Amino acid sequence: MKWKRTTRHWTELSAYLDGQLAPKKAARLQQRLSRDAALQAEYEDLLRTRAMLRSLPKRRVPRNFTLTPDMVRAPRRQKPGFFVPVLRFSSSAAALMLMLTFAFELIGGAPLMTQTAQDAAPAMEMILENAPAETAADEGPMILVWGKQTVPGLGGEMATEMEGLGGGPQGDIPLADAAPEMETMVMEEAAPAIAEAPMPAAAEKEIARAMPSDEAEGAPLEEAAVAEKAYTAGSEDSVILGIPPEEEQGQIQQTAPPIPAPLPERREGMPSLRWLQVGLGTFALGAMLVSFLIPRKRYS
Amino acid sequence: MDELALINAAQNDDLDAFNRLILAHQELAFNVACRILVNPDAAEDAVQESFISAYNSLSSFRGGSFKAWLLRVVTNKCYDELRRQKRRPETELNPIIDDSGDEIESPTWLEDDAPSPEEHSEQALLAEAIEECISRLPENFRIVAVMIDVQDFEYQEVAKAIGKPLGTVKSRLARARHKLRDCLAHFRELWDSEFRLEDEVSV
Repeated sequence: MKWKRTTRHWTELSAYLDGQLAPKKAARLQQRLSRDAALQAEYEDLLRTRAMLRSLPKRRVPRNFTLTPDMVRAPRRQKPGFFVPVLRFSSSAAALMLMLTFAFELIGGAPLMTQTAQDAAPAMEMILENAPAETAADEGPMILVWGKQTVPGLGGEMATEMEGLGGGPQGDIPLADAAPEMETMVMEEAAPAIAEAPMPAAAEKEIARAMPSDEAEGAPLEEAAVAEKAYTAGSEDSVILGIPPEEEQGQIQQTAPPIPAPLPERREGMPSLRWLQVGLGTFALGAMLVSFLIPRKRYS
Repeated sequence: MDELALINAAQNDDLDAFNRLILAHQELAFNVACRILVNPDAAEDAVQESFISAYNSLSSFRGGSFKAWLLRVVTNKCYDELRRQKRRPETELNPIIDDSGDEIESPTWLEDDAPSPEEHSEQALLAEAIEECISRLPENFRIVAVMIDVQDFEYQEVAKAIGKPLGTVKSRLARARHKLRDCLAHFRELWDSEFRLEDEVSV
């Protein structure tokens, strides 16, 4: 077999040089060396290289490397002690409690809010039923204030935009003076709403009677009031009604009851939970920072 | 006191016993480090740190060849140093600027502090050439070649010292010798008459 210059053959030749080749392989290689002059030359090259390397003079140590007690004193790290683990545990516990409060707020807090709102409605109804009726009769018609101060029963939502036409403060404009303008408002602005709302036939007749606009200008307040009454007659149960029917006046004419007491109490629970969350978060963050800063100071 | 007794004493915090072990092995350790690092100063530091590490981790010695265990500590330290040198080469590669702001034509980092060839004997020049060839080897090959061919270690000792199988040691040594042979051929004129004669006889 011809000698091939592969890594495996080089390895075998090198190992043979040091007597590290297995006996069988060594015998085979020895036979090949005796037959192959090129392989013999390679072998002698390796022998010479090794001899030259071994001829390198030993370097003398520049000094003794013996150790002193100071050199072998291992720099022992200070243990963190008791305070740091306690801080880290406290921080973790606070963070866990913070998450629990969030979970409580999401799971348990939502029904609580709903319950509060639901409880408030019956309470309000009960108070309204028990309210004394005689006080209502003394104070005139009930005013449902819809966000803004208006002339009772004559302005409604459009009051502020049409100040002087029904939305001004009570008593600013005499009703008789305001009547023509009010009628204009009724015809122009309220017409689409009237058209859309179902209207009883009687009401239509009333409106038709009140509609002749040429005569309506400067018409007395009574006519406008009739039209207004006719317009609102079909929806007696609406809370937007300005002036209730005669027979119903006084029934809901009651002073507004005070806000039920339980409502604010229940709402106070949520801010306290928020404060708890803020406190827990602050503590968790602070304890974590302190526990990380303390060891660095010690080891530096 | 024999080596085993010294080791036992050193494991019981007897620093004097460990120092006696150091005295027995320091020349070998320094030569290995010197050949691997190709820098006597760096080798000195590496050997000192190796002995400190060896003393602090003496409890990990479980018997066997103390020389091989100690050399493993030394070679590991040399590996660390070589890696550090690669990360932060200490040679200043930037050109030197003189006071007038002109770049110096022959900066100091190009200067050769070694004596001129005339100052060397042939033997010294050959040793220098061999060391040069060793320094050109890849690290893994260099360590094996130094330990086996220069320091005359056994294969098994080297395998333990570098933590590699015996086959790896053989393979690396063969390739290292092959490269060294090619490198040394460039310095044929420096070969001793002994090597030249062998060369002539073999031809």
